Amino acid sequence: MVYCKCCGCITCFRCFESDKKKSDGIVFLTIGINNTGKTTFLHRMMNDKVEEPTPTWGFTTETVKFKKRNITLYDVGGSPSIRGIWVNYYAETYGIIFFIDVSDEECITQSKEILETILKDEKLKDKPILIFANKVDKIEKFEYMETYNKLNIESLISQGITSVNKILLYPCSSLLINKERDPRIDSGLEWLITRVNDDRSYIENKVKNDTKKQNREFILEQEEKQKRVEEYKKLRAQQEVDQKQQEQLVSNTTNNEEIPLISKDKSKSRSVRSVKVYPEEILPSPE
Amino acid sequence: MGLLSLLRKLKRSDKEVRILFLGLDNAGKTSILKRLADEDISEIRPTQGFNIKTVQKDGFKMNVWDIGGQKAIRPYWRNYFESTDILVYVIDSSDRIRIEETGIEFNTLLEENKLAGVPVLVFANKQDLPTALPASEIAFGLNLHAIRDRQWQIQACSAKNGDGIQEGMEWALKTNK
Ligand SMILES: Nc1nc2c(ncn2[C@@H]2O[C@H](COP(=O)(O)OP(=O)(O)OP(=O)(O)O)[C@@H](O)[C@H]2O)c(=O)[nH]1
Ligand SMILES: Nc1nc2c(ncn2[C@@H]2O[C@H](COP(=O)(O)OP(=O)(O)OP(=O)(O)O)[C@@H](O)[C@H]2O)c(=O)[nH]1
Ligand SMILES: [Mg+2]
Ligand SMILES: [Mg+2]
Repeated sequence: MVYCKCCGCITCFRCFESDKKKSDGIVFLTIGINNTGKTTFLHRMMNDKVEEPTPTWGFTTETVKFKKRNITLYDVGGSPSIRGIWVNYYAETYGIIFFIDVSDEECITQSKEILETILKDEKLKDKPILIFANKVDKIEKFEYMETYNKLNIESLISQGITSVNKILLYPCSSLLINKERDPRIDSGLEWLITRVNDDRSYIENKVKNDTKKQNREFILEQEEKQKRVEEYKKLRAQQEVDQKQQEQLVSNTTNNEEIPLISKDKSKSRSVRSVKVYPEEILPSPE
Repeated sequence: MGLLSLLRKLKRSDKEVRILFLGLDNAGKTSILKRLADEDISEIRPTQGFNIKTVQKDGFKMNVWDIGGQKAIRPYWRNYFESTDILVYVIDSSDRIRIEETGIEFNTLLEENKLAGVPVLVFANKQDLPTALPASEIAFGLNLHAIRDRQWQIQACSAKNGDGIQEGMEWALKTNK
């Protein structure tokens, strides 16, 4: 939940603001199909040596130093059944870092459609997008225009879904090259930061408004869930009372050895097992 | 499987890791722990207190704490928060009715100061059952998408056939605060 860290309430966004300051305000979301190298890229930015991360089925965030700036990176899973979470991060991001695996034709084809869908999202409107054509180390020669065309970038621009100075396709490798980060990663990021700075006040405003709106939605969702759970709990308590009364009825009307309509042997049923309250001695605090 | 082989995945820098298993009753916490330790999982009773498994090798140590999830025991959970490196939250994915209930319980945990910033692994357990919800729906039920202050990972698994458990624990051990 997005509860505030400074005062514990749910409507103040002061800590969100102060987190922003810590990272110079900039948040970038990395997305793209699974196995394209997003998390490996995150490790390059953290300057560690990890080259084989576990597939992501969730969310990771790191604030990293880049050219004297602090940048917050959001990394999410790209497998089909987890992609649904991506939209929850669009509001806060200043720009998108989109990954494709250039050694995988199927990945390029699928990425084309995904790209169009995400760029049409209102929350990403007019925000810059850097497409990392990753894993170029795996192929003999990277054909820039060929990939550009396969991704249908020209058509995205002509339809006004993005504009020519807001989208860049850039080759790179997320693996270590001579134990260092690929300098092309740095060049790509420089471009993205410059584009953000060109439109800084527009993007900042949009991020602020969209995030506020989203936080309100999250809180509403949570409140609705809470209500449903309470109703469900009430219902369950009522059912238990009803059941007890029925059992009473059954035991009052049946003779001892007859098969009861409702089993009285509750010892095997987990849902109605009796719960003793245990004294604290049985639950000692950890060492 | 086995806890010892997992221990090798532990980063060199952290010599000791403390993992806390929480979740509603009947979620499968004890079953997962026993499965990890290659123990028999056919005769498991509801946990009335807690279980702890410790493995140690070459100066590395892993402690896994499994606390009972029954309602009457939940108030005691807070006694175990201290110095937790990874929170493992276990869900019965087949229990659709209780997904939101477990979500509320989970979100109260996230507000605990002592668990601030602690990475969370969600085990979406009992995936062997035909009625199991997919991981993405569970993510929504738990409000995982609203989290910004920590890492989280959801792992579909089954203590019954062992699927996904090793993968989940590997993520837990590779991840640090
Ligand atoms: N050859 C080569 N392999 C790479 C490169 N980048 C990543 N890989 C490998 O690709 C695999 C997947 O990398 P990840 O970083 O986990 O991919 P991901 O996009 O985060 O995947 P999900 O988390 O499932 O969405 C790993 O085995 C990496 O070692 C690269 O530039 N070149
Ligand atoms: N089908 C199926 N059943 C499971 C699975 N994991 C656990 N169970 C069953 O679910 C029930 C509860 O498992 P436990 O391991 O006792 O659950 P727990 O979370 O430790 O419960 P408490 O100790 O009460 O908090 C048992 O009957 C298990 O056999 C699974 O992956 N698939
Ligand atoms: Mg990843
Ligand atoms: Mg148990």
